[in-house]
Amino acid sequence: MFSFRFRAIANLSTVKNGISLSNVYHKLQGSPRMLYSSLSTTNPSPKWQLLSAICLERTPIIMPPMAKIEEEMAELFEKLDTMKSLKSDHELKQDEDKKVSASLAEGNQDESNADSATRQTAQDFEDACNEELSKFKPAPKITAEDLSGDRKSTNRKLDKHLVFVVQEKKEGKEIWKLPQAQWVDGETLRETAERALKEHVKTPETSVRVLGNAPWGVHTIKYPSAMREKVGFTGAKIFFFKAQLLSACTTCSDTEHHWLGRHELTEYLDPQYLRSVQKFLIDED
Amino acid sequence: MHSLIRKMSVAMPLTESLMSQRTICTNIRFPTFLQVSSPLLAEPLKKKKKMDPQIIKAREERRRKRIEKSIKKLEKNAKQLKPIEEIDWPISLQKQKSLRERTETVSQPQQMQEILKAWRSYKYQQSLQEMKMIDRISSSQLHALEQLRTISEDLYIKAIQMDDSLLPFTAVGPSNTPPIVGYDILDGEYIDETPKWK
Repeated sequence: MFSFRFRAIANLSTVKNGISLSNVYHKLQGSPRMLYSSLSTTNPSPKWQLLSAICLERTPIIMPPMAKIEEEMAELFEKLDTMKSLKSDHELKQDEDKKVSASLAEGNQDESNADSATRQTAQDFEDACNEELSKFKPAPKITAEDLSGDRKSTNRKLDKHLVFVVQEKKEGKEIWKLPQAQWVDGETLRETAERALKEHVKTPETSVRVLGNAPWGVHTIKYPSAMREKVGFTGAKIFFFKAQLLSACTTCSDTEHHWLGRHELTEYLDPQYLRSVQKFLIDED
Repeated sequence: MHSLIRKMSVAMPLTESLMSQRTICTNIRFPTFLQVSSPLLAEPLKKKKKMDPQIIKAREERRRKRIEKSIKKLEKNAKQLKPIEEIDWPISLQKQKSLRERTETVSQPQQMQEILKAWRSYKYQQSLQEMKMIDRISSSQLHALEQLRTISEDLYIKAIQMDDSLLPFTAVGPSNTPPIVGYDILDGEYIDETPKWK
């Protein structure tokens, strides 16, 4: 309760005075902590290497195809809506045309013959409209990149989310991961993530939107004991930030990279790493 | 008068070198401000015209009538509400209502019921999935924040700050077909035809 209250006050004062009181708070909190660590010298508190990674996503551009039940429902609603509606002018004209043609078939041709020859029937109008519509060709939903299997372009899998992953070569191994950077003192984690993004992706800043100051997930790596002594850290913690790509980019990175769908991620990422990443990704079937 | 000027010019020999002899002056800086009499900024009052009292009365009457008329007009307009086009349909269409009504009914009510039933359970499952997903994502974020807090309180406080740049949030939603690259949009003139109601 005390700590909560104090934190609230600290937050308030940072807003009011623009001075970080959290440092003061830190010092206050430091004393019991130091005491604790000095007591338990046998098990020193773990030191973590801080990393920030950015999960850059391309959101879907087109709607996914409808499920069977969705299609049936859409059809049903269409039917119910037309049933409740009143006939339009065009439909009235169609009815009239039917009457005219029926009377023509009966035999009194000479009366309305001159009129009917010049008259544009509702069907004519409909045909003309359909012809105009057929001239318009919408862009295909399956792109050339889909067919060629090019995973470097954002112009693929238009109805799915795509995640940007980069390749890192380490000790002869090729490891795929989200673009990441080491945290430097004085930065916030978000700034680190943005730096990682800048290093790997060449797009104007306006075309990427980072979602919030808070990390969306974390992945912990524990180093083997031999490495612990060498590096001086117990392990590394990678904090993930989410970002959205607002405009398409075809050649936006020099490094080896891929834009991957949800299922393709399993082929590239380390299973444990993937589990941490999947925790904050939006589901897709 | 002449003697006065002569006296002044004698009294102020300095001014002589600066000005000509004929200037009347008491002040060296503003030479022409000497005024002999006080300024009279007026002229004799005009004689008031006498008007026919009947004409005045008629004029007043006319003015009153004009005001009354405008008041009436305003009151009349106050009762007139702005019409809602979607609600009151034109009389020509109202007369044709019987002509425009449809006679069809649901062909297979049993089938419709089945579809609705399947739809309900489908939507229920979908919303459950979404709830689960949101729970999962928010718990992932909370876990990350907790982890961050144990490492550095300072970074944690910076991470929980609001990001004002995200609001207002806009997103261009998925469309049915992708945009055509290099599509030439037919340009037309924009005319606002909305009727104005006072």
